Amino acid sequence: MDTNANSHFQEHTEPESASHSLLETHVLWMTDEQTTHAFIALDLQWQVVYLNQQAKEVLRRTRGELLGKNLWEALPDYVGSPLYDYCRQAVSSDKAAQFEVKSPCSPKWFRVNIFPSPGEISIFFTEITAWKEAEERLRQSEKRFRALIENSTDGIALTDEKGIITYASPSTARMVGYLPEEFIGGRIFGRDDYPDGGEATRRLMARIQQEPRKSQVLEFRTPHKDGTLLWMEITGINLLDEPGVEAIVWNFRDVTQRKQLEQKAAAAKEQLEVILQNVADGITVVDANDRLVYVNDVVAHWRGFPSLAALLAALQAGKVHRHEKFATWDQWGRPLPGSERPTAKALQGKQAQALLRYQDNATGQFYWNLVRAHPIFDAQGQVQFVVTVYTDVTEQKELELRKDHFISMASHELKTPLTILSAYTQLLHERFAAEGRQDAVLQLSKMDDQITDLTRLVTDLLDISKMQAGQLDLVQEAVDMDGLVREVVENLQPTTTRHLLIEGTARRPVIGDRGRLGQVLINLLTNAIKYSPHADTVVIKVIHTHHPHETLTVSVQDFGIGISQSHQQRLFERFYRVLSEKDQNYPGLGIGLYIAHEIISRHGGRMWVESAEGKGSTFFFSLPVREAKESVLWT
Amino acid sequence: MKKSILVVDDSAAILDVVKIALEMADYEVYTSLTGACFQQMEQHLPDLILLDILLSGENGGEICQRLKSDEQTRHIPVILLSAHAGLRETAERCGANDFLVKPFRLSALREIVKKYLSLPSMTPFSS
Repeated sequence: MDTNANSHFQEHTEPESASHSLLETHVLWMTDEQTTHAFIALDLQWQVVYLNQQAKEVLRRTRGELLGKNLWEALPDYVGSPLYDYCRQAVSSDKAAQFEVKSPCSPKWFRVNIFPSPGEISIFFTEITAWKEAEERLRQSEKRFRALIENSTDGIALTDEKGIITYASPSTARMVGYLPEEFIGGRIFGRDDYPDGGEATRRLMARIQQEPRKSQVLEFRTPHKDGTLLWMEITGINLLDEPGVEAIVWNFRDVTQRKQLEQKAAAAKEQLEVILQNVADGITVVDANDRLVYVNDVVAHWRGFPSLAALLAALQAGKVHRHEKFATWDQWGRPLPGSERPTAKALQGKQAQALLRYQDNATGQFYWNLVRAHPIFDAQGQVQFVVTVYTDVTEQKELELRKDHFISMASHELKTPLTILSAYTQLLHERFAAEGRQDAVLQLSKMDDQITDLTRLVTDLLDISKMQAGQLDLVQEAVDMDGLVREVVENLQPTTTRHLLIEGTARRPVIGDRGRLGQVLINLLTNAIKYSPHADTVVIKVIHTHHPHETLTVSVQDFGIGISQSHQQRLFERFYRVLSEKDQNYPGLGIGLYIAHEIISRHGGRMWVESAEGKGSTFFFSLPVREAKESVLWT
Repeated sequence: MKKSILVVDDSAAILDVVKIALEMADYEVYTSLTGACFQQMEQHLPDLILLDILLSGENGGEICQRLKSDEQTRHIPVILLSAHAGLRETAERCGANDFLVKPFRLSALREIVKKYLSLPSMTPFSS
């Protein structure tokens, strides 16, 4: 048991006590049996000559075991203990002493006073266990608090009422590059704290002095010892009237990094703001509840406000409703329901894009906008914001419309001479046939074929301009797909050596435009024939499926040159042609598939291709099988 | 007695070729470049009318509507001609009996004419 660590030897400060007689000592320390002190008297050979009742209990011996005996022989446990050492030291130096020891045979603590005098030794034991424990608890508590303060990343300092530092934790000093002792006696705030020459810190000090026990916080800049400026967040509380504290307690936190980030973020925001305000596009941001949180000046101007601030103020005041100002149509001229807005779609988590036509309800003016909406997700994957960009394409669109109108007129004008050419060719054909002039009949047939091709091209161009203008009118009627496929095949079979095979059956009619669906079939079949010059067959399949919805799928498969993967995605774009060395022999404008794709899309269907170069292609289109009353909106 | 057909189109060349083609099929053919002909039609009502919808200064569709709302002429079959793709709707709207998209096959022209001239009584297109 190590008791040395908890005991100390201390010379008694009263020199006269060394000369107390045994009797005097008795009187002085009240040796009667009622005292709480234990007392033993010894001669110079450590023989016990007296002991009181308490001494028996302290030493855990009977009077008989001690009286007249050598103390150390009677207490062999104590030999070599601190008590033994201190007692012997006191006697050999002939000086009174006081020390604290822990009993070697119990958890008790005693304060021991030993008074050597000529011929006798008096020893008093006072139990101090409770006091010792309290002291230990206090020591532990202080150790904990000190550890807390000294190891905290926050700095802690105490000042008097004038702000003179009386304590500074090591972390306070570390933050600003000083030693704690360099702080003591200095002022808590420098004279010229930034950014306002100390004005804010002076005000803080005044507030703290005036309002005891109330926390006050301030961010200010203060120089590091190395000359750099730090941002500090300081919290002060006036505890001058708190007993035991009697100080202003300050807590420091170095927020330089946070401030720098804030400044960077602010700079980035400003930069972004400048960009957003200077782009030609309109930009809006809405939150997850479709509330407008940002618009740039472009949008504000469109809406007739001089600035973003003016628009937001009007919105907040309820003077304008967001969607009232403009009537909106899709690119085909259909009124756009609110749920179809790209922003509304992006709020559902999908990027959305649409070409929209707006009419300013006040001025009646029309605008075309390419609208792109992007959702921004939070950490949980929920839509937090939607950023929508409006690109004004009115000018391009008008130009396009003029161009489409021109194509439409030109195509129409071309049809009159084509009608005349065609009719005269047929007349001549009939006349020469009647006269038995086979050579002329053959030549006129070739001429007639060319006129038919030319007519188809002109019709395609006219269709394209109509699609662009949203004027492709579709009829809704029940179409017997089996009959239509048969009819198209019967018409085309005489024009080709390829065998056109029909497989499968439609079972049920679809609702659609028979003429337009026939046009799609003709396009796919003539393509299949054209791009498989060395094959024998083209297969047309009609498949009726119920899952997941009742659908009719028609496929046209050829065994020709095929289409590379890179071209397949863009095949249905307007004027897109698969131009490579080997297929330059296949003429065309790149509009047939575009038209077919548009027709199928407008029927609420889908068109796609599967192909491998050198092996052939299969074009598919599928149409939903619906009742006429639930058909899609066609214009 | 030959059945008579009135052809109205603003292209003289079309009138020419249609006249030849129909005369070859043994019809009596009258032609007009404008809709003015309908003002003097009471004297001689044709058995069938082929009417282009894009006439200069006039609208064939409107003329057709007038013919179909006139007690005197409503029984005459009217077949609209046009290069316009929306012809079907126009024909339905103005009560025409049928339509023929330009350019057309002469065989188709004769077939449609024959069809309406052989019908005992005229029924509107939409039925």
